[in-house]
Amino acid sequence: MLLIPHRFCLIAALVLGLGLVGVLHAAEGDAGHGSLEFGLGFYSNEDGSVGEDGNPFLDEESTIIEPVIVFDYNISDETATWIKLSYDHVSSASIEQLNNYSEQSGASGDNYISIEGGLRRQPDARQTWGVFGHVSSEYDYFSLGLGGDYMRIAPDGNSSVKYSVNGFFDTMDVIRYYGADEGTDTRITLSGQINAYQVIGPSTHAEYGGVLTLQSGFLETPYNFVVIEDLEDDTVANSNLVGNANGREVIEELEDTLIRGAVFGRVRWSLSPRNSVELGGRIYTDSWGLTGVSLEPRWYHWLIDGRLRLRVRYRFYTQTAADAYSEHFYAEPEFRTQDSDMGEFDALTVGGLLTLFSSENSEYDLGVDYVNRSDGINQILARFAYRRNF
Amino acid sequence: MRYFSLLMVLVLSCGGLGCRSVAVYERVRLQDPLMKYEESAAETHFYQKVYYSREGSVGGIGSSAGGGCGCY
Repeated sequence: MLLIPHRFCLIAALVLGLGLVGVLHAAEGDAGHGSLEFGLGFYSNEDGSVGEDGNPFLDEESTIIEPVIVFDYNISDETATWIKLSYDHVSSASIEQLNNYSEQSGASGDNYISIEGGLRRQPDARQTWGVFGHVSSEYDYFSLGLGGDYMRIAPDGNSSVKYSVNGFFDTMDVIRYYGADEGTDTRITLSGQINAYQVIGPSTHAEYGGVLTLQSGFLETPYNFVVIEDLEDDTVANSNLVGNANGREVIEELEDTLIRGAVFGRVRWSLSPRNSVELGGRIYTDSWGLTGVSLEPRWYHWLIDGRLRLRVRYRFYTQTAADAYSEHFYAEPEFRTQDSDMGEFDALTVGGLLTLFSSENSEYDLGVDYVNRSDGINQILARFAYRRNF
Repeated sequence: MRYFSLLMVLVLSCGGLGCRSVAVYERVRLQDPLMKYEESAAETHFYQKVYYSREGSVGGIGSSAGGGCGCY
């Protein structure tokens, strides 16, 4: 029998409760019209001078370049279709190390591609529905996803609610950190989400929602390892570890089931025709013992009225460590991980985004964010995008 | 943490009460690009990916609820 902790009952109640609340806006456009967007994302994270930050035994430095294309087209006045193509080129210190093994070409795949597509329909002014499909692949990973949503809009247009469900079926090759291929394994993800929208006043509106996710199957990262340190024998250096540290590696082990729940929301106020501010937040908890909270104020400002928009954001994020996480292990527990992203840390993000409305149908984005993490895994994010409506 | 919880309760409560009905002509300011909630699809995709890959608390936004991940 599956025992569900109290905090999930609370989140489930919130998620279901939101469904009783009002609802949102969205509409298809005129037949033959649509939009095309091209984005180019850049991500890079540091890891100290010799990889000593985050996981003390692993150099986690990495750089990712990700182009994305999104095409949206109105087949008719009521029906639209969309497709999203993305590609990741990943280079990282861990890939360099794992390249020593013939079967392991990268930490999480040095090339990732995904294709998503869907259909949206608005049969009348008060409701819309949509379906989507997803396929993605890396050298050791394949994922299929399906989902759908239904949105109901209140008669006065002041509120809406959207119900979404999706499922993913993932298959991965279990290639360990030492190069051994242990065959394939699978993972299933099922998720239900509710998003609500509410006009609060002539210059204030809000979005909020909740999500509940169940994952089952192989949930470890196949190539992750945990270092078991030997305090009594510090004479044997391990050349696979940062700084030739003393210790032996064993595979990461995590529970086969994970329940995740989150509630989130944001409110935006228009202060003047040239300024608006937003406050958003999110609370997350899961059955592995990890809890995360984020708080994100934003400021939107017209630098040139109707032409050049500035968005400045600050994000505070904090998470507790998963029960299985430890920075150091001196014994071999049943469940164990040294993945620094599952450890305890705070992250402060400061970011800016400039959007240029170059004509009635064209927009350019240029954004930069810097993330300062308490465990030293600091990150730089940059993004350029061009959108054209036709 | 306590203040954040209070804020979330206020936000959720407002939705539950429906707030006051605002006529279409009063909502003009909400249609300004400074007030629209829709981030572009490419931007949403990028940030979901980053958060999914670098933070343990994933699964709260969009379709990236746990599967189809190209984690870094």
